[in-house]
Amino acid sequence: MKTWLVLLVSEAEEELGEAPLSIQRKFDQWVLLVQGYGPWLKGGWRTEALRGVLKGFYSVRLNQKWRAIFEIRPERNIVVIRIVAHDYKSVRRR
Amino acid sequence: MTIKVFVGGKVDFGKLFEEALKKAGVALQPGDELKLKVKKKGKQLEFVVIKPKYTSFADEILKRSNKLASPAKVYKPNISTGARIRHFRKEAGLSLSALALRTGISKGSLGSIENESRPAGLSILKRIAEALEIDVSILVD
Repeated sequence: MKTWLVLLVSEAEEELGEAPLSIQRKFDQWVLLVQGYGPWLKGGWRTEALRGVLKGFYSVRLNQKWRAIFEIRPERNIVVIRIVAHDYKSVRRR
Repeated sequence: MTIKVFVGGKVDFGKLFEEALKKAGVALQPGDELKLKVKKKGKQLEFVVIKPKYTSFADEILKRSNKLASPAKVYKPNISTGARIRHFRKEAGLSLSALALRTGISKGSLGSIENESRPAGLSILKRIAEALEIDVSILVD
């Protein structure tokens, strides 16, 4: 049985370190499931293909505010590029 | 970024600021904020350009994706073996008894493996991994 490999870019690793503990745990759970079943998980995991400029990238919601953005690469590799909290204030300001 | 301008007499702030920006060679982006500080004594004006925290959400993602040659490390989740088994079992929608039936291991033993009051050997882990349809390496901490 082939497993998926989850990679983290250094910036995303920093972001994860700064994220709340609950998000770190949730991310760990997501990584574990992805290693076994791949990125398209059933249940409450909202895996979404992004559109527009970010076509080709995917996001998964870790909670209402936080999400991980990743890319699916050949040979069952998943590269997590950003772990980010949605900043409603900055969106409203523009 | 701070741009300092010395003035005297009446001042048209708009013109003054435009000229200052040209001199400094600064291009403003949508979302940038400006702050104006006035120091009366030296007749000095300070324009402070504040860049927003997230300049462009998409730009940052594309930038990181393009320079992916920079080291991307394999991430290993910090979860113990017992918790891993429980996590996969719940994800598969199986109860302890259902997993016990599939693996041929008693419900009590499975419970104690999940709670880590009893270590699991490789043969047991293999049986559990087969029942959960995953690779055994994922279950090993």
